[in-house]
Amino acid sequence: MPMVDGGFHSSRKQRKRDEELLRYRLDPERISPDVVSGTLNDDALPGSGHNTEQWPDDMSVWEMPGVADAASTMRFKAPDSWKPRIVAFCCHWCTYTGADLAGLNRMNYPADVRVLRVPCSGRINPQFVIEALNKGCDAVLVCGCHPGDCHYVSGNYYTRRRMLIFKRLLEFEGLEPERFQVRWISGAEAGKFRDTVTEVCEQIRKLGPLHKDEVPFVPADLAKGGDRA
Amino acid sequence: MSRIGVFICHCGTNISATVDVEKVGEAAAKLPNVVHVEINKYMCSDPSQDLVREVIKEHKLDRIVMGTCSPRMHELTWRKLLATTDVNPYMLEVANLREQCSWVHKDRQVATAKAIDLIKMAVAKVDKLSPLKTTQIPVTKRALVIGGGIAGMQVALDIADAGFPVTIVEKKSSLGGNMVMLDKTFPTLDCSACICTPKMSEVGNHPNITVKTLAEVEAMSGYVGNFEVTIREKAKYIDYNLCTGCGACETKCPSKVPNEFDQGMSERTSIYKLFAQAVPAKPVIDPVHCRKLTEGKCGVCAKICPTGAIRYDDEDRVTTETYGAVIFATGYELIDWKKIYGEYGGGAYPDVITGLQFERLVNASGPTEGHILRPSDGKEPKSVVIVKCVGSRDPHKGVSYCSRACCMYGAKHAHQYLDKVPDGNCYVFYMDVRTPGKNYDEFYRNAVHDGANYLRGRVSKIYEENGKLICLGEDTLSSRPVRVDADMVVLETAMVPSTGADEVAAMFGVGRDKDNWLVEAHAKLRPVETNTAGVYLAGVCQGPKDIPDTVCQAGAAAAKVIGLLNKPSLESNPQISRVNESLCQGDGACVNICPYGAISLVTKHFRENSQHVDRTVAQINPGLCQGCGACTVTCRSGAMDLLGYTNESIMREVDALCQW
Amino acid sequence: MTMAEVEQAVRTRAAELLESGEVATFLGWENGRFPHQTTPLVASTAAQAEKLVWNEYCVNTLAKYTRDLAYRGRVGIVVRGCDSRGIVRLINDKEISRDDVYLIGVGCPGMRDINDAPLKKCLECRHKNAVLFDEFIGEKVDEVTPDGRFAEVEAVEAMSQKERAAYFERVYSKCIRCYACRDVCPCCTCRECFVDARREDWVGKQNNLPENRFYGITRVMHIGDRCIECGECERVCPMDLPLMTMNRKVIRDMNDLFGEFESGMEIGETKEKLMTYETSDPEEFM
Repeated sequence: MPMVDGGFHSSRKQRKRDEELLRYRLDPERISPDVVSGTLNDDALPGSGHNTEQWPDDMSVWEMPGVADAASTMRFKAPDSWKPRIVAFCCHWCTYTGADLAGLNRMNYPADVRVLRVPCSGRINPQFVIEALNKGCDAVLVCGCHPGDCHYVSGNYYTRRRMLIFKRLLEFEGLEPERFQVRWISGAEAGKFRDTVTEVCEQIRKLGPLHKDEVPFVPADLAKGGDRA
Repeated sequence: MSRIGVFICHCGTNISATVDVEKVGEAAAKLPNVVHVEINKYMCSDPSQDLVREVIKEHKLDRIVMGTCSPRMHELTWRKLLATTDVNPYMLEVANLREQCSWVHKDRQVATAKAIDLIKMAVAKVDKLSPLKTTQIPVTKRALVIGGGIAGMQVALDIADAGFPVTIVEKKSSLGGNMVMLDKTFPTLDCSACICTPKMSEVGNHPNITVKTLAEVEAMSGYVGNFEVTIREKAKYIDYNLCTGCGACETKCPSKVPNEFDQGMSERTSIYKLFAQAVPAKPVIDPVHCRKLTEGKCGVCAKICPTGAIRYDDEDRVTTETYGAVIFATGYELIDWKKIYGEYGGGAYPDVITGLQFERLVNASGPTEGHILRPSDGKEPKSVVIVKCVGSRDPHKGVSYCSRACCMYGAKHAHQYLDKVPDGNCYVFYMDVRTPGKNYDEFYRNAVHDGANYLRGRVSKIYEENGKLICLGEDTLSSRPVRVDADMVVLETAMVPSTGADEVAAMFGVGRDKDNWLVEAHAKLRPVETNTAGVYLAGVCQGPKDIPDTVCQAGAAAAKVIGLLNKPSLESNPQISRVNESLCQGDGACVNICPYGAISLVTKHFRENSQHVDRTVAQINPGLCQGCGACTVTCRSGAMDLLGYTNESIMREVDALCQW
Repeated sequence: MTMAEVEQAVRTRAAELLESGEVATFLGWENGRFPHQTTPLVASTAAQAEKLVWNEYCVNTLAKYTRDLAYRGRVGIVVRGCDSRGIVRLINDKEISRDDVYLIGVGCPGMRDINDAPLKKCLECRHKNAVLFDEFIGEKVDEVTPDGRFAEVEAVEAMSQKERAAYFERVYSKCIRCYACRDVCPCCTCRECFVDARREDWVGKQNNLPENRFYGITRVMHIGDRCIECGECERVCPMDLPLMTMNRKVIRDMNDLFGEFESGMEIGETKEKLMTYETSDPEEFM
């Protein structure tokens, strides 16, 4: 229970503010500009008071530590040498096999995706995904066996439920839908792996980096190569 | 502090053509805790493996990263290599620089940058791994076969011939299953009993096989190599040590009931042998109908038995034994068509019979001594209609699958009828004719040649008129409705799993599919194993099939079991889940998640906060856990972790990836 | 019965239970230091039971306290809808057993804060009467299911992606990581919360945007399928963060995708949506 200033002698001003707060919170007609501009007894915080109409289309605001002024992010454009950093959590039995098959068939796809092998897609904790997005990845891909084909019988059924909810939650909190995707790729679907990686890399290149303030330095000699593999 | 060695392979030119391995090596050397980097042409070759051993010794490495081809190729190779060194075989991580790097990218710089990232991830992960020990799971060298039909018997014989004791648990009072009720078997038309009864006899006499009839599995605990199974043998009311099987009791018994073996087309006494060649060749008393057991009257059999073998006070026998492997061979039943197909009379017409009833009619030891006679009036039918796919391939009223054997035995029935009633007419209504096996198609064509009229269409209605069964159907090939006035109709009904098999399967954690057939571990590559280690499937319990495939599968299951029982002990997979008991709350969320039933809740004694407490915590069975990690995500506090893929190691792998 | 009558009946009953030894402690509320305020009370004697109150200022949901008291013996507790759902939640999570508690059910007209404003969680309450009880005192309150259970969720969803991002950036910037939401929640019962884990190092202790986001999203994922919508988290949050909006987002999505389920309504087998599955679940990931 938030402590009220000055003990139990609630000032009329405080009480009025609280009533307004309650009315505001329960008002079914409440519209977004109010919400964006904040609640009523609020101090100015860094990044508060955005007027979103001025934002350019290529902006996203999932911030990295050290952001002092969100305004500096408003006119951001990734340097040409930037490449997406995408992690793909792949299950060993299906997707990793499919990815290996893509290699055996000498298929070609962009090099922006790094595969992190787990025994089953059911091993993938949403916390890994949040860590990846927080620490520098521009997108996360979760891949596993088709439901019904899980090597461990039922792991991917839980994954499916969990990721359906988690994806909606992330998008609810403002993440672009392209930055978190789940795909079922079986051990025979090498082409699907290649197509998925190609498609996701393309989408993320268009979207730009997730972390605007600190575009990592890519050593010049490694940046010289074209950004298509 | 870890001492990590990184070994990077040229793989001939497979990797080095696209990835600058020298640069990768330089970058790897700068990573935290990496004390040595070695670059080599063919890491998997013998000289290279020797070099790895030397390097490990010289630099006192305690974990290694292999930057080579896919772990699916050589992870086992590297583990075996490490087993010959001081480094634990599980202190290993493989970075896939070939299938997922050099082979799929063309640009050298991009591929090299990716290779460096992959090595970084592998180094970060291996840094957090711990040495893992396998445990030895002892294997009890005894097998249990559930079901005594042809599948169960074949499995038992194969395992017993290999030298291991086998117990068969059969629900009925004799071995033989469904096969022994058949008359002749396709495509060779061997007499079924003639090929089955020698097997029954061999099983009954085999020194390594124990047969428990009128018995069922009641309870089960344990895991692969050590299944503790409780079996209840129901009371037979006859002392088998004294009974000689003379059959005198059966001649005098006054209580007669429909004979299940003859599919209800004849009667048997309450003291009865299932059939003449039953194994064991001794009778049992039916406690539901025996007058002595229900009313206390009669007792004629005890008076007439020459050896005094009757025991009215007999009781069920419950035994618990340990088995190393269990094989399900529970077979099938026929679908109860009467409940579903009212349009075929729903059982009101005695001359509309199932395929199995037809088998009994045409069988020389059946109720009509092999003469095909109508059950209603005993006359010989001059026109017979065979309806295939009754219940099968009918997702609306029956089952959605094909029962696989009916096209062949439909043709067989047509052939047998025309053979015995040469002036008869036989009409077979079909949707398709599926004859995939060896000599099968020729068999079917012979039936057509014998005079069977194959009409492609279904029968919409069967009703009685003037003593005839009017079958209304369609011949879709000529697009005309068809009406056949038949004397007898044979319905080739769908196979369904045996009643009660699913409950026993559930005890062992064996899954059932949407049609209640038992589920194999992998439909193509592991058709006789289940998801429970040590439990196997043979025969129709896994899905409808014919006798040749059943025997084939039984042999396959036996081979797996023999392989298992030949091992003195099993090495467990050490990359399994582990519970941190101080964190575990005991809420049991993980218990339901595990598909293998490997997690249970146990009460343990702890000393915490200066008190002695008993707390419930989760416990993993290392014999059952397969290491999927589904339980680790359900555990919110992280008390459950997966060895080899711990939360910490994956989190640090993600962090390493994100360091540019 | 009026609230005052119920209060008297509760006092009498509590005294009886304590005297007879049927319960070792009795959990309820007593008057706080200031008017229109109560604090939880643990009574272990009949005399202490006289201090029990039942009025419109009994804002705390008491269920979680039973965990700490169960070791002393059976705990008697006054439960409304939210408290009883919390108790069911604790029993289903095996924190306490059914025999550890003796539930005196009451119907709740809705609580008010120290300024007499009705509590938001009570205006949104869907179960005013105890759902599980050993005895019920007073009459049951008419259950009028309020509209707009997911109105806040829909309001946020109606915003554009950038607006939503900005909204939650503000939310997570305000969070001070006091963990009051976690401490008061009946679903949050881990022996060691993931934020306290040192070894796995899930989430840093820094109070900055990405770490706050990690905490917030993870907590919603952890308790989303068990949330009993008691609203305590939002009530205790010192920064007025829209915690129930996030929880209700998960609840609404689970209801839409996997079928309706209300947590904490019955003791029994696991039915929570993220701990079960159907082979026929919606498929979006092909």
